[in-house]
Amino acid sequence: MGVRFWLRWSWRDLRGRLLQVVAIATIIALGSGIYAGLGSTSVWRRQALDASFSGLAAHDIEVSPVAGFFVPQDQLLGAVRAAGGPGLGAAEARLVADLPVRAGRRGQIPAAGVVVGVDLAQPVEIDRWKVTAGRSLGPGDAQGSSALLDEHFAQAHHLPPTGTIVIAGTPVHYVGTVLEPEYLSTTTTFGATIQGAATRAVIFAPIGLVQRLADQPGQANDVVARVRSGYSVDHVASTLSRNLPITLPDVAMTVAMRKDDPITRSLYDEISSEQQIFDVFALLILAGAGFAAFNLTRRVVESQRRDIGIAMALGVPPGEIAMRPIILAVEVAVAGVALGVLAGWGVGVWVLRIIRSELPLPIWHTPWQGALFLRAAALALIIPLAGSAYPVWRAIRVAPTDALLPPHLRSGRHRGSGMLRKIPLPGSTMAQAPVRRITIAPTRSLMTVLAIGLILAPLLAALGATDSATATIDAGTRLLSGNSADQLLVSLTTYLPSTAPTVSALVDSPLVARSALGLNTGGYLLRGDTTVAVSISMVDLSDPLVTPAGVASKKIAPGSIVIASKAAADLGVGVGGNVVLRHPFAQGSGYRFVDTVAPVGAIVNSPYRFVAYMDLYDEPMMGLSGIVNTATLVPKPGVSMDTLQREISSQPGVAWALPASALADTVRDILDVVTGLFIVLQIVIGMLAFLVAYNSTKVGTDERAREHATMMAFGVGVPRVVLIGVIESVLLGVMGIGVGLGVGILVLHWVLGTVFPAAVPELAVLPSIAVSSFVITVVIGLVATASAPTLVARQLGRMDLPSTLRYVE
Amino acid sequence: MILHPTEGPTPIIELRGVTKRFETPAGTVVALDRADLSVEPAQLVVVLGPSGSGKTTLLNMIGALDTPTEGSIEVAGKRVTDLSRSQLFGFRRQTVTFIFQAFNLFPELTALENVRFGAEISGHRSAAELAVRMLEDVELGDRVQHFPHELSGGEQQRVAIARSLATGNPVLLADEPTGELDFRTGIQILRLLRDRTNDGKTVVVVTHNREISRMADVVVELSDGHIVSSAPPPGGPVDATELRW
Repeated sequence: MGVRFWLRWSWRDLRGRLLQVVAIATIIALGSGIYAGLGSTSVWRRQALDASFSGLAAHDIEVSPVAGFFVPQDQLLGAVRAAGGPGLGAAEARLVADLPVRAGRRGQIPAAGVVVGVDLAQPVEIDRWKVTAGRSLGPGDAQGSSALLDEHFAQAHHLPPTGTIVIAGTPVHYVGTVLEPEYLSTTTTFGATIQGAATRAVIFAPIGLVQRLADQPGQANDVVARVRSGYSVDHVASTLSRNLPITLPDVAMTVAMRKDDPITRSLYDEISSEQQIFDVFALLILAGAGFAAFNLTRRVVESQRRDIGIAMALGVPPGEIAMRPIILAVEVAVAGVALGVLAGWGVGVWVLRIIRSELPLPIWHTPWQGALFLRAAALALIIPLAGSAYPVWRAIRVAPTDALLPPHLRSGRHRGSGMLRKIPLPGSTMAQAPVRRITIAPTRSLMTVLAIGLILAPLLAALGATDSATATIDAGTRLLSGNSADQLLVSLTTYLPSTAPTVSALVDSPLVARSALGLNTGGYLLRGDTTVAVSISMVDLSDPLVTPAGVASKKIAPGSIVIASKAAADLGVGVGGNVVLRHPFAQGSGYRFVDTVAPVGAIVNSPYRFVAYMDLYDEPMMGLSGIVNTATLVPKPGVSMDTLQREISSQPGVAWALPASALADTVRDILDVVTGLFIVLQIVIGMLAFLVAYNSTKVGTDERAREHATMMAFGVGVPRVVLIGVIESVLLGVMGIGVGLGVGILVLHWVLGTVFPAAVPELAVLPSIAVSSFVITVVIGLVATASAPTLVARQLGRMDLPSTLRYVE
Repeated sequence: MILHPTEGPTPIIELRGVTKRFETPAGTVVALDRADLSVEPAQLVVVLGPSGSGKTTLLNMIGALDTPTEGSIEVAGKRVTDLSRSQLFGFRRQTVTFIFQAFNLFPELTALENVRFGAEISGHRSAAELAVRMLEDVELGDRVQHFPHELSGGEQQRVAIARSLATGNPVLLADEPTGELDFRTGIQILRLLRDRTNDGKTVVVVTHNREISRMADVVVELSDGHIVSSAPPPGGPVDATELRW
């Protein structure tokens, strides 16, 4: 017999089982589609970032004086140009001022403003902005008072493309919303808080306007520059570092390359880390899909056992006998590849829409990811072939006499009959039928249960990952504002003595009941080969208002540092152990980093690794005795947080003043992309669960055609036959859900214990699964398994009873 | 042609001008052509004919598994051809019952439970007790807890008969009930069926085995969809033990 003979036969198999083949192929397609779709998005995001940075002429080098220092605009630009050497290309001076902002029609949205003053007299050549709505600013606006608002902030608060915002008490008209390469990341850390799109408003305005708003006439504090082609960025940066002390001797300057900028790096790093997490889920779904395909192929091959027996009896070589089921598997594989490409494209488009709405980038490049789709296609080919290999191998090794027997007489078909005899079941034979069907063939039932369970497990794990992230944020929020729900966090524009009038005006405000001053600065904890970046909050550690729960009551020795439990675990240090603290030390008009050995005075249960506290009295080790840059204020009884916030924001020297609760919400915004993508996973998994249940029911209905026909011959109606199927499917579904919940919890703990720490080391994610997540998993499992049998009702209703009943094995 | 096998009691099965046509790609096939038949209660009727003569079609239409293209069928006073789909299901629960060549037992039910199914589906109370009694009647009292795959072919067919009897329905329709069985077992089964007529049941057996027709009260012969004769066997019915094949 030639290949054409087997192809013809398989073609008939395919026509007879078209729905099942399509269903198995769809399961594989969804698995590989998720893999390809989610994989594509990381490539797209990376390419979009590259294109955005290059398309908007992002700066290569940024030169700025230490925080709080300003230099006359022309002097700063001239000094940088003179110091940069021949490799330095275009350079533009800017004034970047931290100023409090209020947005919204009634000024009801407080935000920390980053107001970027740009010289509009010449066309902007570096860090150009992409207008997303409204209009841009041009040379005609150089002397005007119009501004542009960052798209992230506008989107977070659904602000119109044009309107008015209040910057440091002055209303400013913004004429459009824009994206700018330096501010593509919305996330920044400040002390124990994280700021995101909702609390940080970046505003671009003519430099003259910003100089007026910041009360720094003629001053600038930032130069962005490009490096000429043919010159190395590193070389130009080192030339600048070497020459700036000569061209600008009175001010300590920082030279930073964009490629080393932690915020820019984090934009790329988060793509990789999120991809790692999604790869895990995609592979889990693929594994579940693979198992489902294996299970269903096994049952399809099982249904061909009698034909195989006949072929054996007629002396057909095993290799040829195997061709028919293998061709069926190839057909499933080809259909899986075709549908997988479609599913991958669909998932990709869907995911891209979520990412584009949550992460607006100026330029998007979304080319077809051929290599990735080829890899997914290879998986879609391999899974059904691998899934059919064992059942086919097993089928051609069975004794011909056994293969020829009617299914109900074959060995190993009724392993559960002994159990059924021993277990008395209540109710009529019809009521018992679902349980009996499950019990009589335990292997078949177990495989279906596992297939449903393995599909549902990633769903619970995905939901649990979102819940865990939320629980982590809540824990962080509690830590931040646990001592007082009504706290106003204030950041000053510069370091000031605690006795300065600006500081006194805050703490002595008639609206303030309590206050605490502090100093926030960056640093590193080192131990062995491990380095952990921290944001050090220097506060009065005996004051419960500004210290985490439990710390204020402890006696923290001078010079000790309080660190987060995640940092302690990563550094392998406990209370009393020593770490090396690399911290800034004020020197002249700048600072340098020095290493100091600091004992760990306490460990706080913060999910954020970067949180660290020291006592304000340890300031001398920073060379900053009596210097502060933050304040925490509690309003007097009867004074609303909004009133206090408005009052404090209008004070000179205040960069921003935000309620603690507003900062907590921003962390949720940061997780929106991950949450959005998990919703895609949930829907795909729901579809997979349904397909597995449908396929299982369809195969079961085919296998039990004669039983159903006999029931109907005895007068049992189609609805009752379907009901038996529904109950059986739901019982299997319930067991599958049990397996799914168990495996899902294990997967979640594994992901949070191994994948998350590697992907997001800054966060100690607390494993948590909300009741709603359990409910969603259970409901999807139940709905999928209960609804699948109803789809075969039509098949039962149209059954040719006489033919089915007369079929002689 | 209208054939009345016997004069006397009201017929329990009555077919008038029943025609069944199937549309196939090759054209219209007439499986049964204007068939008329009357069967009295408590008779053993053997429908005889070669393959493709229409005997199974006839049985399926009496049992409401299939509907005629033309004509009317009345069974136990119910005009089957006028019944709705749901009424047909009720008709099969209460009036007729089947015995199949391939037994069609439920593999996940024991012998007792298979028989209990028949009793329960017809709405009998004390279904379990009735099922035990039926199995004892077919001499399977010691096999009640066995699953079908643990029984021989003859035992399975006896369970199938017990299941049909447990329904208590007045008409038993048996399609080649001995087709899968050896001679000795076949005789056992036929005796069981004959005994049911003594209990007042009407039994219609479809077979191509002419020898079986010797034990019938009435033999209906079919050829190419036509009923060519309907009469008692020559010399009257014999006991099943006298059959030979």
